[in-house]
Amino acid sequence: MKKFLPLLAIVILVITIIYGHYANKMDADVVQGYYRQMLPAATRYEPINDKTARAIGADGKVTAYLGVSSNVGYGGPILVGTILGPDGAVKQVNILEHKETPSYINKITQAGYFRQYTKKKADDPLVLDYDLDRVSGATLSTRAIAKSVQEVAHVVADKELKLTPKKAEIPWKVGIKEIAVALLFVLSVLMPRFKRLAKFRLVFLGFSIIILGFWLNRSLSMGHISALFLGYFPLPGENLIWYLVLFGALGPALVTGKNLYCTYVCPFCGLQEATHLISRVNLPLGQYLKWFRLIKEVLLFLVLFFAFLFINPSFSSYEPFGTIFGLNGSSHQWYLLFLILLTSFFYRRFWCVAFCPVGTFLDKVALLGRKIKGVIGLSPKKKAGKVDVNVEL
Amino acid sequence: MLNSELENKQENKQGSKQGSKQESINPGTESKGRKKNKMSTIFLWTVYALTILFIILVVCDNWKS
Repeated sequence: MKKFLPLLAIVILVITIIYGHYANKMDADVVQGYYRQMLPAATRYEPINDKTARAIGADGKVTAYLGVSSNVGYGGPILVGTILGPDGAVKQVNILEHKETPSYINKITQAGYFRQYTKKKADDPLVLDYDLDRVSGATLSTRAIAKSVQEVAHVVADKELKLTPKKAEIPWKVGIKEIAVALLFVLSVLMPRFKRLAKFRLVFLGFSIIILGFWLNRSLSMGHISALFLGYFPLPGENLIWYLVLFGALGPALVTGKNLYCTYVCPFCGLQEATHLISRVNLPLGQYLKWFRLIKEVLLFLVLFFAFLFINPSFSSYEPFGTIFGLNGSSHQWYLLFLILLTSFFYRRFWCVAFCPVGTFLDKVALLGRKIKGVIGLSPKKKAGKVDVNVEL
Repeated sequence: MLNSELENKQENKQGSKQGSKQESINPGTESKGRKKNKMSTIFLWTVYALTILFIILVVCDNWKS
């Protein structure tokens, strides 16, 4: 029975993701309700597609085009309503519903972010940092809103106004940030191969705390992993670091069969190593480890399950990475962080051992990598029935 | 260090510690070692339960927002 539990978990997750996609589709009545809320003066709304319509006035003429669209910001989806005039000029953009972190929405509203849309046309590219300005400190939220407006406007331009939407030509941004992150991941692959380099693991983790942690606040989280399964990919030109972090962690785990990210790169692991260095205390977890391991796997399953059910990558993400490195979080997130850091003075890497769903996922990927290697005959010969844990340090 | 490797190390460490402890225990009296062990177990499960509680609260926050 135990053997089939992982398979059962995968089957449940696949069913959940399919169900989630169907259950989260907006039905026509709900969309009509949003149209009425946005433009109550219209007598009826003729659908252009499932989320865009023509608003018809009392005289039977098109008074406006309108549509709703949802994209994921930092903490969750933002449903945006867009109204365009009969000539294709953007008239109004507003948030109808959101599950985003409220502080980001307040920031966007206070900055007067929506004003810039009134100068735009339906066939404009409507891309952040190209023809739209971002709100500093709420980039992901403003990008999600811009994408939602673009989706509606381009449907109107294409299907109603017979205009070809202009495309934004965004060059890939490869700056100092991207190079620093790429270097971290390249070195993490090289380190275990050279013993001289491996000695500097803690120093390397220190750099990671500074670069991936406090400078960029882009450590790998369950949000990345859930987004990968849900198909929420940002444009590489806009967010190259997202790809570097995700594939820099998953790729080596799959290819080498070793979870190198947790060992060499994770800035939160680095912080816990630092607390351990200060206290030099490592109380044994002993007999309880098997329970922690089991609960950690259950936690990973639950995080993915809820993310898939609500089609929201960060819905069930509970890691305190953003709290410490972004210095931004709710009171409960701060309490959780304090507790974890305090405990890591007594138990080495307590979070990694007992709670981290990211580490558990990467361990699974590494295990899959080893199994694939075994099947295709690339792994070295070892005793039957034993799984190689690949110890370097 | 891999998570699983770290866990294995800690498991071995605990095993050897328990063995040496058992040798030093006098029958019939509760040794200091055993008391210490009990205290550390209580501490461990307290912080564990508190962490789980805060994880649930964080997820509830996500749900509400």
